[in-house]
Amino acid sequence: MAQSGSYYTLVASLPHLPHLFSAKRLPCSRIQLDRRLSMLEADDREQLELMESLLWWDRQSVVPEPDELICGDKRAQVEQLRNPLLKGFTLWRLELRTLIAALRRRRLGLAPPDSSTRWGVGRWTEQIIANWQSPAFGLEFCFPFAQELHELLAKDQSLEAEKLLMGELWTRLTRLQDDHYFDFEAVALYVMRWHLVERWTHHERDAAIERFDHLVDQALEQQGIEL
Amino acid sequence: MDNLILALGWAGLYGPMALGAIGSMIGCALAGQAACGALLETESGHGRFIGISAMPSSQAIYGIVVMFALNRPVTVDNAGGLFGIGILVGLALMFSGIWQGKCCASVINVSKIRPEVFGMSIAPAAIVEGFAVFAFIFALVISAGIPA
Repeated sequence: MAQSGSYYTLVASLPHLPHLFSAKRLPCSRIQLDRRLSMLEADDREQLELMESLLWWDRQSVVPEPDELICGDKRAQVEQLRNPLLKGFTLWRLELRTLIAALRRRRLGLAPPDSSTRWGVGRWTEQIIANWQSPAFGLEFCFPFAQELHELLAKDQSLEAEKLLMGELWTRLTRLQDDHYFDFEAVALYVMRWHLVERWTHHERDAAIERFDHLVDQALEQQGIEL
Repeated sequence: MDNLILALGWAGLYGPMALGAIGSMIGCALAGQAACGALLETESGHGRFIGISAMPSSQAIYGIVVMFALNRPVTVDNAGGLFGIGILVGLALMFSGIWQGKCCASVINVSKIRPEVFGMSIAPAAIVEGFAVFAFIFALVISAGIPA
């Protein structure tokens, strides 16, 4: 590398990511991406893997664990992130996840979590409990879309809510990327955006399978065939 | 004291060449790394990626020309002038080489995605080159006033 933390070759070798909602397919597979990411220095690679393990569901443990244990683990892992941008984004994402968990909990008609237990990650757990009856828990200053998210969840429009969240994540990642070109942060933000595109394109695939099944059922029904 | 002044004069004489070459080395390395990355991702236009990565090499050439323009027997009378002009133009060439390399890396990165913007995206690198030319030309002009 010409400079410490500079990844000119790596960034230039990454394929362009289309805008999230216009993406039809992934520009590169995870195998291809991992091949490019092998250019990262060992320390940076470790930090990126830690961030991915904190944020993406496919990297989570499949064994059910108590909330308190999961939240404690996540807090400890966030502290291991040394890069300020990665740490800030990861914390914001986990705080957003805490907000979503609270919104879902309230929608189910459950009481606020016990403040003596660790039920979420970040700065707002106490505020959420204190403002349990407020639609966005008084967190509009930190999450301006919280009110809209609450309304969508209240109307059972979970797909729209998911789209809103992914759009907000994409916007935040794109804004952060504006200040980074050929450094480690640019690579990490690219990987985060790649995960979003991957999720979105899979959504489309699932929708296509569902629609295909529906059309097959409809056709079979019209023909009077039963499977 | 005279020896120190003479040493500074020699530093000013060789400075444009050395600093310009350092700028070119770093600039070409940055743009070259980006070009190598783009080769993995594209199937055509490789020649222009490699070509543009050599753009920051002009600073070393300007440095050589300024060094020859300044070249004269170094005396206590002219050492200050040689040092001032040589080091300052050398620094200007070095920084322009480094930043031009970064501009070229960006050109490679965007034109890999949209080849049609190659011509337009090269403008920032050309503007940086323009400032290097200013520093080079006026170093030549002003060096005429240094006593032989």
